[in-house]
Amino acid sequence: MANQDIALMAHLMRRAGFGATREELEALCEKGYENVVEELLNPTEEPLDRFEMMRYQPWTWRPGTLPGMGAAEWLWWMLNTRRPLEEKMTLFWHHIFATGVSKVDHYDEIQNMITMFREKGMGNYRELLVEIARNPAMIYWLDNNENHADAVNENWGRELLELFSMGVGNYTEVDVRECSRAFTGWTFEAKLPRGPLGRHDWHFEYRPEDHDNGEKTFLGETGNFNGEDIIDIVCQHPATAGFVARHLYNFFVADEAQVPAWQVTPPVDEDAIDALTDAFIDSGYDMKETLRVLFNSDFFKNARFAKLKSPAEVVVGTLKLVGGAEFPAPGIGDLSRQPNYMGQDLLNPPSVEGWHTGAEWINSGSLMRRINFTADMVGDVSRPGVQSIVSRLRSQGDVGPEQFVDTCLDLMGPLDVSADTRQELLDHAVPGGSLTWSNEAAATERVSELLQLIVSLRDYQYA
Amino acid sequence: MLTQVAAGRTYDYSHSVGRGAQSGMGFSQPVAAAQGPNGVVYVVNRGSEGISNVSWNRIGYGARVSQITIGPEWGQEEFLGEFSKYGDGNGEFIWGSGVAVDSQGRVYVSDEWLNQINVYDAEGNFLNRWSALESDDGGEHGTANIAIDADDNIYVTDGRSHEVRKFASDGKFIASWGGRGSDNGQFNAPWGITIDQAGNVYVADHRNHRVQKFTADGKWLASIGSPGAGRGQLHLPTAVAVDPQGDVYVADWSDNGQHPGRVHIFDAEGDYIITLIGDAMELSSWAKLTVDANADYLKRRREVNLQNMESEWRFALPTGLMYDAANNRLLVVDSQRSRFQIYNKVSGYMVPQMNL
Amino acid sequence: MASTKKDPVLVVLQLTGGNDYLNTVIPFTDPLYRDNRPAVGVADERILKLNDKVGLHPTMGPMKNLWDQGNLAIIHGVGYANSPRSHFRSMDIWHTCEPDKLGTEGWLGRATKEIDPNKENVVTTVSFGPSLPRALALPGVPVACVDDLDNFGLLTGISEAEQRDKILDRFTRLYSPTIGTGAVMDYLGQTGLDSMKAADILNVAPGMYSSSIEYPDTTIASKLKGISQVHQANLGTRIFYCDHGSFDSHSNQVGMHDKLWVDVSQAVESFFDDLRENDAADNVIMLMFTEFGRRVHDNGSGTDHGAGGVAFLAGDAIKGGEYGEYPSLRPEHLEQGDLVPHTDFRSIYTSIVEDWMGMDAQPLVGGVFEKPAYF
Repeated sequence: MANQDIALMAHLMRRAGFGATREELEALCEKGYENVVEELLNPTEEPLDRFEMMRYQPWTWRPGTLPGMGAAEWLWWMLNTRRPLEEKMTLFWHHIFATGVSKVDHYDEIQNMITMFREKGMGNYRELLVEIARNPAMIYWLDNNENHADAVNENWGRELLELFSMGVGNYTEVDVRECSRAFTGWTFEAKLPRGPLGRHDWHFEYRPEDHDNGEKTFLGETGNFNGEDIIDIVCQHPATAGFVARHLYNFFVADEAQVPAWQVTPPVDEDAIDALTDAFIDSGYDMKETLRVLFNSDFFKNARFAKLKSPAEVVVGTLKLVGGAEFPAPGIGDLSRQPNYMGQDLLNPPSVEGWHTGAEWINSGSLMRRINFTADMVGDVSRPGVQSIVSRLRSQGDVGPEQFVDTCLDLMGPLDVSADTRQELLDHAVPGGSLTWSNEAAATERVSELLQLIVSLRDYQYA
Repeated sequence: MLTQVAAGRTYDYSHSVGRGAQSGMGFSQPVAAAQGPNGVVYVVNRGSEGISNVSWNRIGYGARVSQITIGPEWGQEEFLGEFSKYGDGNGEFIWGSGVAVDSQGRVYVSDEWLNQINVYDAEGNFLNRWSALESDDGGEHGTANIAIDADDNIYVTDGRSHEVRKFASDGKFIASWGGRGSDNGQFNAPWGITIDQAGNVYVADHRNHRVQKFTADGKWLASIGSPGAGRGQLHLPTAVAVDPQGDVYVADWSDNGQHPGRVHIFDAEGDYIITLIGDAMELSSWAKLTVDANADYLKRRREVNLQNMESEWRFALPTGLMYDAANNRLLVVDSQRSRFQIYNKVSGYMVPQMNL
Repeated sequence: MASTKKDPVLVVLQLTGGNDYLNTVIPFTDPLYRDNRPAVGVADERILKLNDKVGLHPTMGPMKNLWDQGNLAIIHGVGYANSPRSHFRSMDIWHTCEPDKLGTEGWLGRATKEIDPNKENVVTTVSFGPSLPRALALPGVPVACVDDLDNFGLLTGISEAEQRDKILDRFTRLYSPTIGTGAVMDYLGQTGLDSMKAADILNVAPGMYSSSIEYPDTTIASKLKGISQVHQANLGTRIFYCDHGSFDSHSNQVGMHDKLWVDVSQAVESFFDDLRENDAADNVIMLMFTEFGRRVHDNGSGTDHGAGGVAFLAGDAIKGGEYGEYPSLRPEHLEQGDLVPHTDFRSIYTSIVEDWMGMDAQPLVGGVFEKPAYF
């Protein structure tokens, strides 16, 4: 099998999912790239059955959810789903419609929002905006329950325009006000308190008596607008398509400037943004059509290792590589907190702006966490994925240091590294001489050590 | 429905017992319960991993066995104590999953992660433990639930190797049956298990959506219930109990929208009688203590209108059943709401006139 | 450094989960205390009385010693208006000083930047725990997060020392500026080397340390011992952070609260004994806070989330005593069944920042607050 095919497939699966084992990549290559893209867009495998996890970890889902699990339930989905792009889009929307327990303090509601992203995240963007506007966690997060006909609260109205659709510079303060007026009365029903019998769900409620029925002028249009009318106008605005396109590019293709800088910093690749914008508009805001254009584009295929992995990608990607974490075993709570230790507390983004990505994932503490976590995982030779790498090496028989290093780099990606980096790895391997299997334990130890060094590379931090 | 009448039987909702609590008067993900000859109810609390804002790892929070007595009426329950905790040392468990009491009053608790049976005396003092495996074959195992017959033989289900194993009371392996599949006598993730007065064995065949009935040595006798979400149909049955008249009770996780979980009642022939969905419209006495201590809870509860109370009174993923023959009542372990819901089986019930 | 004056050091011990004020500093002569605590009240004869009004929880003997030495300040009725009674939100408010909107920057992150604006010392602030508390978060400000001081560093999974040294040597070469192209690769390289540096600096601390004090074998004691080791190694660390918990005593509070305060009190006493023995105590103060106090009335076995709480300051430089009044327990003075705080937590921060750390507090705590004289 051509190595370039594997490399491209690995790239697709890292971006459109959370990575795949070499065995899976080889099988996918047999199907061909475009067919795999179609499968990702139109998954035929069944969604996971949440009760398989509830059977063993009953505290991970409502109504008996106990806080403090990090995102164990979601981690389990990310690790086990047979519909990887659906799950990656769920994470994408969580980055954008960033809502956190720090304020909502109701894990179930944010998990419900995640479920909604899973079900609708590859559908129509307009419908998604309507869903998110009606989502109780979002309503509470951005104070729309405090947005009344006689006392407007602009938090939701502003973020809808600034962070969820058009971006700053495309509307006025008057538009924010009028938009907020249109969403008055969008709230949720009072629910029972969480104590003493566990949590209860929130339910969206529209209160016509608390809705401002007056005329509004929004982005140049005038009428007695309600929330959905505002969403229609927002979707039709050209800035919205560009904004979504740039988010898709930053998340799936290559690291971009951060959102607050978009007004002043042009995109890395204008043509790519244009192509995505066109696809988004032409399809009537259909995410699937837009993603099809993205994954089949040359700009995507040429963007291998052009972005830094998010902590969720580090943790899930590593666990998928080394295997053995599919069953929700004791300790999944701790595992699900690992992204937090690297700076991405899932279900609890630092603010409505979400996480800053790219190089901003990295500081001395988070880098140490990334390296130590991945090194501990690939250093555990009892893991099935590590055993598979070892047995592939063993099947080559005794090999010289050069082939040893190159094979490991290949099986860990394939990972592209600079000539200097490769030379350093080689210098590390040469004193040990050829990798020989007469002493299997010693050979395995050498493999384990080299894998740990590889995941410590700067190059390995890229997806 | 506070009172259910069907086929000459009446189930009267009595009251609920419990509240969410990591220790003491309440439960934390209770998954199983059994009553000893001393009248004490032993409740296995699964517990959870970690708690909100503690920044280091804490697993097994709230895992323990609670000892309580449950009186005939509201507010007569008593918390006696608790024993065991999360761990793999003597007397500890990782995943507490089932509990049964033998003729001597000894308490057996199964651990479906370590695949061990911990044995305690009636007061909860650790006596010994033994492997619940036939042999350590390196395969996947999960010793899900446990039942003890009149001769103190011990039966366990294994939800991951899909079989039932039978042991002598000292842990000596006697027999096993099952295997993965959907044919008669095969299982898919068996979970709850119970023994009737004749010594027959009933197994909640979780992912085959049925209950299977066997003789004491594993000969298949019957299958009860069919898959589905309709009345009398089973979806993910978790627990099974049989009363002295032979009526069979099956708890399941049938997904009724927001409110997963029902208890289906079948007669001794396996014919469907009726379904319970939960009736805890009144808070338990322990739950009331919490609400009374918190003025804001009280206010918010008043604000929530009656139809929004449904999520509180319905079952939420019941995983345990216990029939208390001495008092003719069914105790449902309403796991996700950290409580029991209790139903009296009433004889001689007269239905009042419709024009009353 | 030529100066002989030691730089002031702040240790923060966060009592995570909401410590029960009423059973920590007990208003034992107030009949309303007994009325409200039928299940979890502390028997009068067990209370460690400080005067004729308040006493400490019976397990806080070591804290009482600090009090008797005049080195413990009890700060009554701490909090802020409209307690959300949520762990997450309350903790965020304490960390970011933003009670009215979501904040992302921590007050001690800002303090770290103020102390070391050019990031000359990667261990200016050291946190003991796996994740970075939001109190210390500020983009671009390095904070070392130490789980276990004896096992802190890169690739600690490689246990064979010689082999690990070889790998770390290789790591240093792989992260050196000669390899790498572009700004992000360079940044990654520098950051990787910073991580190495922080580990190298902190790793020397246990070796330099000697003390006759034996800390108890508890998680909080090992954290405070780690802090003592780093402090005594004179690495320039000015802010230490650690936490203990969970104090979230909804149920079975009696046993749970006992154990928590045994552990905390003993660890704190060992810590100060250790510092004093090694002449390292005079420039250290400790702030102990919790995100909220608990409900006045118990729930039959524990207490639920409340509002006003108690904070402590300890250290040789602290002027011991009570600060502020005990909030009234009278039903008509409670809010949703909770004590009403009268002292804004940011006034404690203000005192610490200005009168101890010698910096301007307003930009750190986001406003101007009263400054009680704790020093």
